[in-house]
Amino acid sequence: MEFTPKILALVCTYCTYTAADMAGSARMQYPATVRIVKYLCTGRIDILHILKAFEAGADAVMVSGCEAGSCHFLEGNLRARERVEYAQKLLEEAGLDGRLEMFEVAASDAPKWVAAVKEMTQRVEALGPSPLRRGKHLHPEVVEQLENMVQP
Amino acid sequence: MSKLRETLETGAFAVVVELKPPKGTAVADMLAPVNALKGRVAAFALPDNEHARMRLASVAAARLVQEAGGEPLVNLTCRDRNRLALESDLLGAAVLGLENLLLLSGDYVTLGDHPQAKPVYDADSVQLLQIVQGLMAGQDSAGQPLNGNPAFFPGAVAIPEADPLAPQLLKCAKKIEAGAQFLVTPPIFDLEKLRQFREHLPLNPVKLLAGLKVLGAEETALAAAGQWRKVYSLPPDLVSELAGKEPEEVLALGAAAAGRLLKQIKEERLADGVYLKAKGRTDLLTKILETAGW
Amino acid sequence: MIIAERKPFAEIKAMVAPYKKILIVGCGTCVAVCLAGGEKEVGLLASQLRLALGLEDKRLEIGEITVERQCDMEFLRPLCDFTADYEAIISLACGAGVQFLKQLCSLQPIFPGVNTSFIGVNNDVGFYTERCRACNNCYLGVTGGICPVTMCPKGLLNGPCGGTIQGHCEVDPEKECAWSKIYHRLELEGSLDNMRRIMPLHPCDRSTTPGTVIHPAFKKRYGTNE
Ligand code: SF4
Ligand code: SF4
Repeated sequence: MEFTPKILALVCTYCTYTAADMAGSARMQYPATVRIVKYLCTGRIDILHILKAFEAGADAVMVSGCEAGSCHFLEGNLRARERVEYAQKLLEEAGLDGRLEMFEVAASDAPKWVAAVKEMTQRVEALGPSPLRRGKHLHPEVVEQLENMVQP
Repeated sequence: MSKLRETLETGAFAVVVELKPPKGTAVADMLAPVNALKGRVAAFALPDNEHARMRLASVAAARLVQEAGGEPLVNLTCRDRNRLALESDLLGAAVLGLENLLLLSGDYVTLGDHPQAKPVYDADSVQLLQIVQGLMAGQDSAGQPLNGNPAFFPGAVAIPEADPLAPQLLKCAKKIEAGAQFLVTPPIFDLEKLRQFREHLPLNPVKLLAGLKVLGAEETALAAAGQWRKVYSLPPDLVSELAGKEPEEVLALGAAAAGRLLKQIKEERLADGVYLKAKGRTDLLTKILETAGW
Repeated sequence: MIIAERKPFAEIKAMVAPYKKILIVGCGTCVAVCLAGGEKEVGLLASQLRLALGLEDKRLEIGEITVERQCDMEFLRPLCDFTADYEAIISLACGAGVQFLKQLCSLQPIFPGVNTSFIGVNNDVGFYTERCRACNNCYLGVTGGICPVTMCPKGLLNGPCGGTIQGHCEVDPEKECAWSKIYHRLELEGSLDNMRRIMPLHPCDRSTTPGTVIHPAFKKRYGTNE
């Protein structure tokens, strides 16, 4: 079945967002499957944000922050990793495995960002669309909601 | 007066043999050592759901021992009965003519074969000794008078190798204060430990029965693998002597070792008697006694 | 405080299977602190249920609300109007809260979303241990502040059993023997005599369930009836 994966990327502004921005301005080729929500730090990402994204029909969620040890807020990314692991467990219990992953992309590492998006896209292509999508696209309100939540 | 008490009070050396009440109703194996050894030993002990594994009731088993001509020592733990049941079982033992008691807290339920059972521990071993004292004086634990007082010869457990030892000694003193007439130790392999422990005991007439045990192949293997976790230690020499041998050979060597310990305990009078654990097997018990020249 | 643990998701999911519209009620006190049934956990459970049922193409409408304390009338009363609209309720409070909520507000079926574990302490975020069995005859004053009823699995009152191994408990080698610790504390305090005295049998009737406590002031004003 042909479909375009809809992946929500919850990223921090310091590292991953910078890398993604650079990838864009350098016109690096990568799948247009990702919708980015920018956080000040991945430490701000709540498990509920992740679950809500799936409720809204996201095919996958990637959380991406700085590399271990270089978080702008010291250990926000470590917290995020713990939360992602917990959310993975909750999703597995609910019957949605393999659709949430944590990445670490340094600000200067645009190629790594591109690789991460490709990896996640392939994974979703293999898994197929989220059964919760019901033919629709990712609900734009959810993305907006998340953006409102994290941006003052 | 019970024969065990008589033996101990006259200063004679008492050999007590532990039997294995069956899981089920086939009692012949349990009683075999009684038939074979009743003339040679002071008493036969009946464990009470030992290691929290369900087996024939010790009071009933003790009565059978008595009918077979042996002197029984009833073990009673606090694990499975509340004070009502403890007291009525004690009266039950008394009317069946069972006087000798070994009173214990009892291994915890989750370590046994009914791990989901409710642990009771309404009384602890000190309080159980007090209950026994009370019954003998004609009162139940609620202070009500009895119609006909039982006679008992109560004993308790003491742990020479306890770590830490100080709280154990304190509890031991309470057991004696609460009327323990004799103390039984877990198996002892290193007599130096027994000697040291003796020094801690008060000089009053409490009697000491040293535990002796025939090790099995599984236990030896455990110890050889450094997995030994018990309230008594095993000498490395013995473990290396026994490890890796055929199960029956381990038992035979273990029985010989126990026999040698018995002999030495008796000769050096390190205790007033021994409490033998040999899987309730007549052949092993006989071997111990023979080795000891008993 | 009361420590609880959320029930396995599959169990909760099975409980609410017959319903189309449920309310999840959190409790903002003990179970919120131990991360089992506060506002956050209400949100997570609701989301998890929506995801799981969505995957099965089922529709479940879920209301979410958290009150300060479900064991307190003051906080439950205002909730009662709200609960009427739902076919069933999941309460994430301790067992006391679940019962009180049902008693005061709910005619429909109620389900516990947590297993209530014990009265304990918060050692660290996510690490809770038991301290008290509510025996209603507290011994802490003579045991160096360590509860023999709770910290010793056998609840022995007169010193260690014969199972202590290197200061650890026969029941769980990971745990220290309560009586080794009590001895040590009393020794430091210089009050070992406490341990030399024989403690009498425990008055179990004091904790006959269900317990009732009536404050003297209440008694004075209203008599003994509730
Ligand atoms: S003795 Fe233990 S169980 Fe009893 S009230 Fe005190 S702390 Fe609680
Ligand atoms: S080892 Fe200590 S804590 Fe454990 S049951 Fe025995 S006395 Fe109680």
